[in-house]
Amino acid sequence: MIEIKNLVKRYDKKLAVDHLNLTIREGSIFGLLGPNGAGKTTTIKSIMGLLNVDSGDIKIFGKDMALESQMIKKDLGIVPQEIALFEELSCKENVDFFGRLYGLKGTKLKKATLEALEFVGLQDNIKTISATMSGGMQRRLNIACAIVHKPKLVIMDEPTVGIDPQSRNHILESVKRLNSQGSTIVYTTHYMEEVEAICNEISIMDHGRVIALGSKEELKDMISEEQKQIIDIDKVSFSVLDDIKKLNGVIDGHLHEKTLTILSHRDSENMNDIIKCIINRGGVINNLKVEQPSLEDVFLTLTGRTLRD
Amino acid sequence: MKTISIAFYHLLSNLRDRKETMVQICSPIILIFILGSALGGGDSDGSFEMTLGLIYDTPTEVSVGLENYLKEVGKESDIDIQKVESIEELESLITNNDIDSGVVVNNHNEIEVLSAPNKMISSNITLQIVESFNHFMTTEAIKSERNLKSLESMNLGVKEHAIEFDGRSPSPIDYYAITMLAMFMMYGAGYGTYAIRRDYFEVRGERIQSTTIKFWEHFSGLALGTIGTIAVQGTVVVLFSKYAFGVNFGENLLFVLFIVLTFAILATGMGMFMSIISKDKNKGANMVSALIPIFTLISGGFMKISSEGTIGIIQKFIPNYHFHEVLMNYAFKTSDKIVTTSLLTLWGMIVICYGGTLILRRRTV
Repeated sequence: MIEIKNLVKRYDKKLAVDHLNLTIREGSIFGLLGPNGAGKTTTIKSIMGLLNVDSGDIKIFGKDMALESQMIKKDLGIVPQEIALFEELSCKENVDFFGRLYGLKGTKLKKATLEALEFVGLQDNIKTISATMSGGMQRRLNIACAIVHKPKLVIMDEPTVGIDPQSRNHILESVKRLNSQGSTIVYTTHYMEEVEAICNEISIMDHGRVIALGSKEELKDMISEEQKQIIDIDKVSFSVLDDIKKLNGVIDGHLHEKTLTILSHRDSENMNDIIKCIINRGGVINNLKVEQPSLEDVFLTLTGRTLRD
Repeated sequence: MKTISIAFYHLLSNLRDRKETMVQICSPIILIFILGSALGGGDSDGSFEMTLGLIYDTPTEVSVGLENYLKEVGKESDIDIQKVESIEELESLITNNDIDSGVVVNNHNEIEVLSAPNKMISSNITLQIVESFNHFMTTEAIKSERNLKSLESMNLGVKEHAIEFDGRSPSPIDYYAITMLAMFMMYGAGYGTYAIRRDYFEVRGERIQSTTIKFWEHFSGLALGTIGTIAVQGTVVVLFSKYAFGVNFGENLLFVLFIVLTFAILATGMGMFMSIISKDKNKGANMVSALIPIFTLISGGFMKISSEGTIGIIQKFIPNYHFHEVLMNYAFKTSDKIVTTSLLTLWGMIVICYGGTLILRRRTV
């Protein structure tokens, strides 16, 4: 659906995007991650046709953005990070306005406007003035304006910044529904749990380049083949640690007060054996968890920074 | 179609901003009322009475011509002309409130207006009359293809071409209705800077530009919406001033509204131009806020300023000045030539502002 080849964009002497190559498949929810200044926004603006790039090609729906931008834009929807609405207009008027810009008119426009508002759960607020709504409702209206023309590709740039959990859940559900209805989504966020929850393909950018690309599992596999098993126990002796260290797949283990931490190979499947060892030695298990590397760990390992840096 | 949509929704959005709309409509109306009525002479029949002192040593074409001209104007309105012997006597009469204002013609045919600081209205009217006399003399010189100094038939000229006040002289409320209208319509340039800021420098603009809209559709829609906003506000002020305060805008209201529209187009263009040249979200608006009171002051919006010398040259570049000139001269039928010249100057300024905005906008992308 989107094919970017050797994209280069400079701002004066600063290289914002450095020979970027990226392919986004049709039907995916594609997470675009990267620390501030990684080149995400420049990449998104280039996809939207808002920037004159220095070199490289962007093809969307198989069409060249430089040559056929009008054809591409009619199937493109953008949800900006900031609220980009007319504060003095009502929900219906805002959505109607953007629908008209995409060439909709008449009954088709009316129907599409109501459908978009219903999609984001604002059907009861059609006459409400945007400025009087809560941040969460404005975010939802922001989305409605982007999807009124039923685009094949929706770009969402941090659509959940600064809103309450209820509105966030509503938006994440909307993204999934939009995707299930056939739209491809490009999603950027600073919230790793959102990426975990909705994205099926992820790209991590840094210094204007893609440094990792794949599914969540593939990215996690990139950085670690180990897992951590953490067990809270009562009535345990140090001898249990010697038994556990002899088990298949166990690399190392430590007992600190009442917490037993064991490092094993990820595919070892030795948890049952570990539990048996503890019970045989008279131990009582209070809590047990297995820690896989998170996307945050992946991000930290690859970029040296946390996502919110 | 997209242009109309953009214009309509920008207009709707601007007019729904109640606070700004109230400021733009109520402030000029209140100021017109305060300056026009509270400073004296707000009566709508224009019966503003004043006594004017006149001094000249040597009877020249200019001094005698001016005396006759003043007498002619005095007959048509309630202005008494009193011959005074010396500047000292004139100053004493003004200080003692025996006369309202004085005109001195020296031996070099230079005209000076003397007034007390608290006689602003009288001073303004006197300056207006003297300026009209100057225009008249210039017109006569051109018509007769003679040098100004060779004019000999001033009396006939005055009678034939005396300022026609249409049965009334410009009252303070007439004067301030026009100057305050100009000032607040110029403040409307803020809508232009705001429009450019929101639709070119901020994310809403990026969003609009990411749709299938073309550059010219976006720009023209934006300009039309802003022009409509300022024109609607200006029209409300004109209609209210005319029907509630009895302000004289002349015979043809449609022509007055055309001038209001012209000024709305110019104010929008100026706002957009300032926003584009400042290349900054806020600098353009700050420039508008700083420049408009200066424009108003120099063009004589707060008090009549003589158009002689450097000030006169500067005034020629100020939109408010030309707006005053068009409306005052149209309403009081003083000079068709000035109406035409100032109207053309306003349109020239419009071409410069919009041309500059479009060129610089292209370079900014």
